[in-house]
Amino acid sequence: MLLEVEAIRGGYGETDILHGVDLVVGEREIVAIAGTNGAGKSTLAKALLGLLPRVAGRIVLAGRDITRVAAEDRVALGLGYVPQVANVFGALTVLENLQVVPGVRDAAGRIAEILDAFPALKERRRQRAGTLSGGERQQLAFARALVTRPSLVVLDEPTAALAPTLVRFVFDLVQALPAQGVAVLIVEQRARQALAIADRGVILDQGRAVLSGPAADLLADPRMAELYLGHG
Amino acid sequence: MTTAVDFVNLALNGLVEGLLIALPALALTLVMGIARFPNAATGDYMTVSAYAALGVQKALGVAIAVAAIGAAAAGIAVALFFHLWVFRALARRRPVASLVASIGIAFLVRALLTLFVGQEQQTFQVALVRAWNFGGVRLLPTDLYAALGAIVAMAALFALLHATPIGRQMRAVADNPDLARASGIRAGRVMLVMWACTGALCAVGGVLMGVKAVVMPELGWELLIPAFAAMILGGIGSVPGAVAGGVLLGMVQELSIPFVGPSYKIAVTFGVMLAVLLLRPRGLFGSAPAAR
Repeated sequence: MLLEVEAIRGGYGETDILHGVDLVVGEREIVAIAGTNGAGKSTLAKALLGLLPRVAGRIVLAGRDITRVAAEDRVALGLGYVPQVANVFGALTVLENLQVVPGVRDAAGRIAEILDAFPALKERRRQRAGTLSGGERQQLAFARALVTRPSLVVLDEPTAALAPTLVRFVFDLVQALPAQGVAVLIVEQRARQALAIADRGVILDQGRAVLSGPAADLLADPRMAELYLGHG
Repeated sequence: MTTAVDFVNLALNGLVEGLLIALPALALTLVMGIARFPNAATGDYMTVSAYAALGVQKALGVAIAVAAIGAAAAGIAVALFFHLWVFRALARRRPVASLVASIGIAFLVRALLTLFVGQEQQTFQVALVRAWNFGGVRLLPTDLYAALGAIVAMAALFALLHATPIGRQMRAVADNPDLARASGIRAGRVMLVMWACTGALCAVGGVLMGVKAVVMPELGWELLIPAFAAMILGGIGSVPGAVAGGVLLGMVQELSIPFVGPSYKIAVTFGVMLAVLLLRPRGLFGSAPAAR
């Protein structure tokens, strides 16, 4: 397994938001984490990235225990991150957003490759990221996360702030990642749409994984329909 | 009767003063943008640097430009020392903890300076020169060099921030610290470089102020409030804003003298600052809250 998460607990202050979540992601697999608002989805993403102040349990990436590894060092170990809001450096240009990531092998070549894959960004590479449209920002956030050639990208509600017409576009971007050798952990409120493109899914409720399994099974599960799929 | 030439002279004076205010304003805005607290010890870092340059000049008898290297070393050392000793440990606390600590550091530094160098005013050894006169418009060569020194320091900072990898990383951390960490940027290294820049800016500011006026233990402390005003006027965290804010404040201050007299020029500056902030709360160059 590429990522193994065992009994992870933790939160920002005194009280735990996550109460022992288990999770695995295989190579080139898309795993969707769904659940209602406040279920702990974003907190789980932050814990994986090393951005949660207090974490207990075990996080193993490609056979290496990274539970105590600092956030800035997890990037070099193959972890990429697209946060929910503020997902680009608005004061930097598009090109600078990609150049600012340190430690990229053949950075110039890699950035050229990425810009070829995102023509809209290539066209606007000298423009400040803060002036991009919502869809372009999302592309830049993906592009930045991919610069380091990660083996796993964590996406925190990538469609949350987008117009409905752009949602399909973003899910298409996500679906294309495994072909590039990238596994995806996608945190989503739009459970049905996320599960439709995922291999497997985990449903969180109040900081616990209450259901997990192949995405198709979850979509067919009557308990799901009752509990969490109302959000579309 | 104040003539047009008088106004030109006042504006020139104000420009030089403003450029000198802009240096500590830049030091403040860098710390504000990246370490996220108002560093009340900024002025005293300037004072330490000015005395260091004075010491180097007295000991070695070198020109002021050479002594400035000693000042830069002192400014950088002091800024890094207090970062490593105090501010780094307070980084996870609320900004007010660092602010209060910086006020303490300001008093400590000034008290130590006074203990070792005394209260009396001292001056740099610079060649006494007559002001150039262009049909009534007077320009002191010392002022010209001070302005040029300030501009060179600002250009160097701008080049560092926009044309080097570490500069880009500094701007990224200022923009979004969590995303910076998750992108592999080492905040600790960025912080060290930022404090070194702060120390160097304070050093240039301290020496130029000492050359223009006199060196005394209150040299930097007295500049702190105008520097704060310049930073706020320009937009907190904005590098061009700190420069524009400093220059605007300096010029308004000097140009108001014919109308209100020298005693009230400070009040006019703050009037202008408040007026600008009423119309544009984020300052001249501050980014919109939504864009952050």
